[in-house]
Amino acid sequence: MPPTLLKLDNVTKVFLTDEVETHALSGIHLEITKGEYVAIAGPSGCGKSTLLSILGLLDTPTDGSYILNDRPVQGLTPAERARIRNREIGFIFQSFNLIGDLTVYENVELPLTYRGMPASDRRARVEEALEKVGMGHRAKHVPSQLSGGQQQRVAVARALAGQPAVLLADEPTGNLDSKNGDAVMELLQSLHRTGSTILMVTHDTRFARHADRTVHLFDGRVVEESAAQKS
Amino acid sequence: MLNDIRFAFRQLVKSPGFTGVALATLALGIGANTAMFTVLNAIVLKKSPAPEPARLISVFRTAPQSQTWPFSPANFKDLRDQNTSFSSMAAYTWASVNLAEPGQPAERLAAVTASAEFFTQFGVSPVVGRLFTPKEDQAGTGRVALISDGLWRSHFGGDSSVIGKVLRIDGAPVTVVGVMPAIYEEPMYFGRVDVWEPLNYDAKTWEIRNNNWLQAVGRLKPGVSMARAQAEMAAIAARLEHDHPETNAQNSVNLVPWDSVRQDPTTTKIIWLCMGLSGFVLLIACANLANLQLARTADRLHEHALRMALGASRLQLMRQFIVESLLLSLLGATVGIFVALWATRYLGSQITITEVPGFDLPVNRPVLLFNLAAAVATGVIFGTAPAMIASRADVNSALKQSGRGSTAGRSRHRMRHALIVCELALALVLLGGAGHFVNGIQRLVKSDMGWRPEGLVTASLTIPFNANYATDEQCRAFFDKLEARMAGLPGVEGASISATLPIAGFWSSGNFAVEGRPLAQEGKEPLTYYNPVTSGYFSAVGIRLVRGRAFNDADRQGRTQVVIINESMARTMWPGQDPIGKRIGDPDPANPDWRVVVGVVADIRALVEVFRPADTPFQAYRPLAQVPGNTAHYLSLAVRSSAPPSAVGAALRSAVSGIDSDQPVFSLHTATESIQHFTGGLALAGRILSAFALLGLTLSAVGLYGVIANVVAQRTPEIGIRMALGAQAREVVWMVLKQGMVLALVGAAIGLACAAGIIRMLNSILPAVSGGGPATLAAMTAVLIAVALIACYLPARRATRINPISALRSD
Repeated sequence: MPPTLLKLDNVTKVFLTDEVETHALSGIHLEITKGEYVAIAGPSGCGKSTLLSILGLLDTPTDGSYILNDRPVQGLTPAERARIRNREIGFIFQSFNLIGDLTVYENVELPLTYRGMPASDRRARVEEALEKVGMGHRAKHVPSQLSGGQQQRVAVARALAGQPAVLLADEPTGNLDSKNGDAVMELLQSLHRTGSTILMVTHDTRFARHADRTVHLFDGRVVEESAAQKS
Repeated sequence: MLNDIRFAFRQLVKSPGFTGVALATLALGIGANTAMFTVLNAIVLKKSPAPEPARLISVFRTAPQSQTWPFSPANFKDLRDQNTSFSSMAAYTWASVNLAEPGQPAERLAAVTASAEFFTQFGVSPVVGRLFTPKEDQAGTGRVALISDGLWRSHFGGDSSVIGKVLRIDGAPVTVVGVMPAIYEEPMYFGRVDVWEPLNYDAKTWEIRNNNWLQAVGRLKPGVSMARAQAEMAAIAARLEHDHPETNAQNSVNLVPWDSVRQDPTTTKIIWLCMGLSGFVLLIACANLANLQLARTADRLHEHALRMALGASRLQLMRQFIVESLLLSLLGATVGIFVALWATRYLGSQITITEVPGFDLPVNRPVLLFNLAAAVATGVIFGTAPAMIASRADVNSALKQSGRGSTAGRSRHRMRHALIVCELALALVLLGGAGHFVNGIQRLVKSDMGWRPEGLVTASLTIPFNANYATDEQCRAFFDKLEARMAGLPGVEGASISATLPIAGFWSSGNFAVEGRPLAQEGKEPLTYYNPVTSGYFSAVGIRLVRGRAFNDADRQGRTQVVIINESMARTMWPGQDPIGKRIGDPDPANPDWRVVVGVVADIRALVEVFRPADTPFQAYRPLAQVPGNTAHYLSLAVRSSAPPSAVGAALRSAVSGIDSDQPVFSLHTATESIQHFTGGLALAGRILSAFALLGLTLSAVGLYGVIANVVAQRTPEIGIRMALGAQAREVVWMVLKQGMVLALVGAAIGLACAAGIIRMLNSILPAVSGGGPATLAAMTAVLIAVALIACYLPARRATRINPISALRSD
C-alpha cells in the first residue's frame, strides 16, 4: 500500500459573517496516498473549493488537523505555508490564473524563482514542463495570444514545473469547451499515469470518472466515497 | 449639456472619497496660484492711477556704470526744452526733512520736491486745498507744501482746516496748501511721502551740470512711440556730450515706462519665478487628478461602452467627462479662493516695503478672473486625457465581462505612470529650487560679510539744508559734538558717523587715478565706491584693519587728504607692493585732488549687493571731516555697545536732541534687525517656495500612493496567484516597491535635470544667494526618494495582506 501523502482529520471550517456562523466544512476526514487520483465532487456551495483551499494551504481549518507529507501543517506561519505551497503543491485553477504581463515561459518559471532556484535549473525544469504539456513552441507568447485550452495547459505546466507532491486542480475544465476540456483531462490522466498525485474538484461526473476515487461532498460533509468505474 | 452637468454632479456625490480628495487637491493647487497671482497683481502688474499711464515715461541718464542714474538740473533743463517727443517733462527728487514743532519731539518726514509739471502729468487732484500756483514754483517765494493723506489724518485728524496751517520743517515755516490723495503713498506707487514741495530752484541751481540728483518723468505726446522718443533724447544727449564733455562724457538717455520702474527688477523676477513655480504645483495637481480620473475611467469602462453601444458619439462621451472635470475644478477653485484669501492675508502681513509693515493684497476682479481661468484650464487639462481614453473604449470587449483567465496587460498603466513621473519630476524641481533658495539665504545671512552686525545699533539722521548747517564748519561742529556724545553712551565699545553703513552699501562711486600711472582711456577709468566716515567707523562696524592705520582726529580739513582702501584695491593697484603712502585722486589731470593711502581694510560685502551686483570690487573710505560738509547731510550712526539696544537707542536719541532738538533720529534698529528687514522679502520668497515644494511633494506623494494603491488593487488577482504559488510577503512587497521606485527614480532623474535649470535661473537672478548646488540638490532628491518609498511601501504592505483565496475568486 502506498504511503499516505495528506490526511485531514475532523477538519471543520466556520465562516463568521455579520455574526452568522456558516459551517463550510464539518468533520472532514480524508486521506490521500501518494500517486492517487482523487476527485472531489458535489453541488455548488457544498464546500469543495473551501476544502481545496485548506488542502492547498491557502486557508486554515477552524478545527481539526491536517498532515501533509507526515508533517502537521495547520499551525504553520504564513511564511512557512507559502514555502510549502511553493515546493509541495501545484495549483491548477478553473480560470487558469496566468499573469498577463508575463510570457508563457515566465509564467511557468514563476514558482521556481520564488524557490531561489538557479536560472539554468529553472530553464531545464520549465522546458521539460512545457514539453510535457505540448506548449514548448509557445514559450515566448503571452497568455492573451493563446486559446483557453492552451492557457490551461500552460497552467498545468506551471503546476508541474515545481515537481510538487500533489497537484490540486479546481474545476480545471470549467472555463473550457468540451474538446479542450477533454484534452486537459487527458493531460491530467497521463500525469497520473506517470506517478503524479492529483486531487481534482469537479462537479462534472463525466470527468470525475477519470479519478481513482471520488469523494462526494454535500453541505460541507463527506457523504459518499466511491471508487471509479473504469472501463 | 444640462443632463451632462446633472449626471456629473450625481457622479461626484456618488464618490465622496474621490470628490473630497479632488476638491482638496484643486483647492490647494488653484488656491496657491490665485494667492501668488494676487501678489503679482498687487506688486508687479499694478498700473499707475495716472491718466493714460502708458504715456508716462521715466527718463534716466545712462553711463557705463548704470542705466538708471539721475540728471543734473542743467542737463534736465536742456533735455526738457530741446525735445519734441514729450508734451511735458517733470523733475523731482526725494528728500528727508525734519518736522520740529515747538515743545514736541522732532520727527523725520519723507518728502518729494517736484516741478509743477509733475502734478499735472500725474493728474493729481488734491483731496483738500489746491496744487501749487505758478508763482510758488518760482524761486524766492515762501515755502508751501502739500501734505500726504496719512500725515493729514495722523497729525490733523483729517480736518480740512489744515489748509493755511504752518509747519516747522527743517526749522523754516512751510504753509500747507493742500492734501494729496491717499493713493500716492501706497507702497507700490510712491510709498511713504509725507510732504510734497515745489522744486523752486533759483537760476544758479538750474545751471549746475556736474552734480546729478534729479529724477525725470515725461508724458509722451499722443502718437509718439517710445522708439522715436528714445532716438530723439539720445540725439540730444549726444549733443550735450559734445558741448559739455567734462560732465557728460559717455552719458546718454534711457527711457523706461513709468509702471515698470516702480518695482525692483530682482523682486519682479523673484515674484514671476514664484508665479511660475506655483504653476508647477497646479500641474502636479492636474496630473494627480488626471490619474484619479484615469483610475475611474477604468472602473467605469463598462458604463462608457454601454453609452457607446446605445449610440453616444465619441464627442458626446468626451464632453460628459470634461463637464465632470470642469464642474470639479470650478468647485475646487471656489474653495481655492478661500485658500488664497487666507494665504494673501498671511503674505500681506509679512511684506514690508519702505519700512512700512503690512501690505494690502486685494483679491479683486483680476484675481477672480485669474481664478476662473485657472479653474477652466485645470478642468480641461486633467479631464481631456481620461475623456479621450474613455471615448476610445472597445465597446465589444468592454461589454463582455472578463472571461479570460489572465490578468490585465500593462499598456493601460502607461499614461498613469507617465503622469506620476511628471509629478515627481516637477516636485523635485520645486524641492531643488526651494532648497537652493532657502539654503542660499541661510548661507548669506551666516556668511562673513567683512563686518560684524552683532551688538551694533544703527540709526539715521538728516541734517537740514538750512541756515544752521549752511557751512562746512557748522556741519563739522555738529559731527564733532555728536561723536563726542556718542563716545559717552552706555557700554559703548565703538561709535561712528558715516554717510552710510554696509547694510545699504556705499555713499557714492567715482572714477579714480593712481599717482604716477598714465591715465586710463576716458570712460575706462577704474571705479571705486566711497564712504565718508569718522575715525571710529572701522572699530564700531567691525571692519578689520589689515595694514596701516584707521583715521584719527588729525585727519581734518586743511590737512593732508587721506584715504583708506580695501584689500581688493590694494592687491589690484599695487600688486606685491605696500600701498601705504601711495596716492589716488580724481582722473582730472588739472585737479587730481590726491589722497594718501593710510590704511588697508578688509573687503566688505554690502547687503544691497544681494539684489544688485557691485559695480566694482574697489572700496574706499574718506574722513567725514575732509568731505565738504554740505555733501553729507544724510548720515548713518553706528554704536557698538554691550548695553541693551533699547537703552542705547534712547541714549542716542537724547544725545542728538541734546545738541539740536530739531534733529530726529530715525530708522533706529540693531544691525541684525536691519539685516532681517533687508532680507525679509527674500526670506518670505523662501517660505513661499518651501510651501510650494512641500505642497508639490505632498501632492505627488499622494499621487504616487494613489497610483501604486490602484496598481495593487488591479493586480490583486495577480498577487493572489503569486502568493498561491508560494511568493513570500517580502517578495510581494519588493514587487510593488520596485514598480513605484522605478517611477520615482525616473521622475527624480528628469526632475534633477530640470531642477538644475531652475537653480541656474535663480543664480542668474540672485548671484549672491548660492544654495550649495549639488549637495542641496542631492539632499532634496533623497527627500523625494524617501517620501516616494513611504508612499509605495504603504500599499505594498497592504498587498501582503491580500487573501489569495479572495483574490483568485474575484478574478
